[in-house]
Amino acid sequence: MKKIILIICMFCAFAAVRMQGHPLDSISTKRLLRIAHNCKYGINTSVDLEKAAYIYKYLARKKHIVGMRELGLMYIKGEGVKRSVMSARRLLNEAAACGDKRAMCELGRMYQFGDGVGRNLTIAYACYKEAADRGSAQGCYGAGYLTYKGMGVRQDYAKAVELLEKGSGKNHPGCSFLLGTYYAHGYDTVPDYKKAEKYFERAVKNGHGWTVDLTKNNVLDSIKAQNASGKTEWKRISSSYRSARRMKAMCKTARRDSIAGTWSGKIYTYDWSGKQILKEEDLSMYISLDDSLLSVRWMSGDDVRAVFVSDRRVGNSWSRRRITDEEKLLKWVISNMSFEFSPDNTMYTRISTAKTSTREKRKPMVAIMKRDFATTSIDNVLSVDAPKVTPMPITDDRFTVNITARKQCMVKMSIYSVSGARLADCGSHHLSEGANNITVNVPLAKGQYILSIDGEGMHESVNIIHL
Amino acid sequence: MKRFLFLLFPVLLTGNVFADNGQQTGQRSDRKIIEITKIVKLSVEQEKAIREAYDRYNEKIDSSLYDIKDAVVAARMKYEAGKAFNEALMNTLTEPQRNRYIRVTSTPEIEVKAQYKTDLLSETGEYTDAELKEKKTAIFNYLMAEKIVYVRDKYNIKKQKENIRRLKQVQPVSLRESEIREKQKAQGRFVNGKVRW
Repeated sequence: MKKIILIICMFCAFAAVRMQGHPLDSISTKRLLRIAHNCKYGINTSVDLEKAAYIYKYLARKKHIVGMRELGLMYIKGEGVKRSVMSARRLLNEAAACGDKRAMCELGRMYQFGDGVGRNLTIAYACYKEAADRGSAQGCYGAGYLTYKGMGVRQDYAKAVELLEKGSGKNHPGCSFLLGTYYAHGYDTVPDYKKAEKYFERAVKNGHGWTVDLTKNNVLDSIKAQNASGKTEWKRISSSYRSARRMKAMCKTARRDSIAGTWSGKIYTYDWSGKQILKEEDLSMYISLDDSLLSVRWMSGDDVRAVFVSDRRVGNSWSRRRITDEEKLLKWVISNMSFEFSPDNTMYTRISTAKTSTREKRKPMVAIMKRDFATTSIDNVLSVDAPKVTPMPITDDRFTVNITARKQCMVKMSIYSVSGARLADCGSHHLSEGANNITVNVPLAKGQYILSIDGEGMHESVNIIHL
Repeated sequence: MKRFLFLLFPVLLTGNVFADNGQQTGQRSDRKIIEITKIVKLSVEQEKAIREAYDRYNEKIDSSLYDIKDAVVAARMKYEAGKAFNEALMNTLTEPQRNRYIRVTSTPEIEVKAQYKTDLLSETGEYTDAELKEKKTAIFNYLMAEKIVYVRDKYNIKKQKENIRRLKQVQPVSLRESEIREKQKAQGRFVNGKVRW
């Protein structure tokens, strides 16, 4: 009998606990959302991310869309919960499947920047587009932006403008700002400054902070001046570039001499659709190619503009794995380079630069370079042949440079970092005709360097790896 | 007798001074409690704790004023006293009490700030009175939320900065617009309510 009573008591206790339910059950969803929002942003209370996450978890278990989305966002940033991109993606996918526009945009952002997922601009565009079709201003901006730049979708100004205007109508600051830029430059059409001002004004109203920089730096005035100087010879350049691309890329069968050396010419920045030149600059380029390691230094006078070191080659295109901190201080951070040659030995170099923080690509550039015979090793009787460093990689401060000179000459050797900073002067050396071995003793930290050899009218560089 | 009176005089004098000090201290904390209770109701324990904290604060301030000759040391002491009192007050009050206290005491200042920000918007001449009123309310609420953080975490700079950073994420668009207009005005690009692009 006692046992039966005990079992009944236990059953009753269990039922009572079950009936009591979750402590948050008694609070309305609206109030819970407000509390969680206040805790997340510290509105009239201290920031309490754990509490906010606890409430969102409770709501997410109940399949509440906002709860799922907000918890997903907290998982991405690791706020109040342990960072878990898997959980974030699952929750955002669930919320998006229920039709949540913000969750779709967040998924788009994750795929656009490769935040916790593999970078996939096509999926990013699809997510944004879906949100845009459902009336999301952020979706309009995302899809419009990708179409504007031709990322993950074919570049098309008309479509981009349509999407951005939709977003601008919904008071999205980014849409208005981008439209202002578009009309000011007149990429696809005649510049319309009235429209540009109208959209910039709308961007101010929607709180776009970059508008302050526009007025501070007289950006619109400089764009007007640039436009007034006329659309430069882009047609000629683009047609010669296209014909060069049709030719067999020299890099595929490159002998070392074919690409290495000094080149000089102009570099052009052009718009996203490749229809007009926005900027041109005189530059020289020093290339060295050791086996499969390409190193390029872009110089404007004595200033190093960019350095590109790559060992990844696909066809005639070279790309890089990582960018050093030093390089981030330079004007451009080149992520990709490809080389084409025209019959008159003009080199066309297509360059992709990217923002270091977001890996977002910048406006494309093409350099049109001619070999600089005054300072190049090709056909120069005073030049040196194939300098080599032994041992390679070096493990000590001491190493030997093997140089074969075609004629007696004096050379000066210096060591540069990959970002172009001069690190050490290795002195001047006299080279006799034929093979020369020069021993260099320079204390170097572990890393990659460029040994630059300059002599009577020639320049050579060799990559050094110190382990 | 003379000797007795001679001995009694300093004793009386000292006693009077102590009595004055006690009365002054009491008056000071009384005034503080009156100020606070006009805004929020305090329990007996809360009142006692605030009185004690305020008395300690005044003691330190007096010492820094009369006893410490070195101005730098005095300033540090004053800062420490202010910090201790602020922390005691903020920890004694409950969250709703704290928010109400800060709201009431800071309303005049925040109203002036909100009015200034709204005036910048009204200069454009693009908003109706009703719209401006709505924007002013949004700006006021946000600035008040910031003020609560500034007062509550006045001496905990790290926490204050973190909280303000998060709060900025929910900054109203109208305030952002106003700040942009303010900067453009300082650049000399905002003329007759229009931006010279």
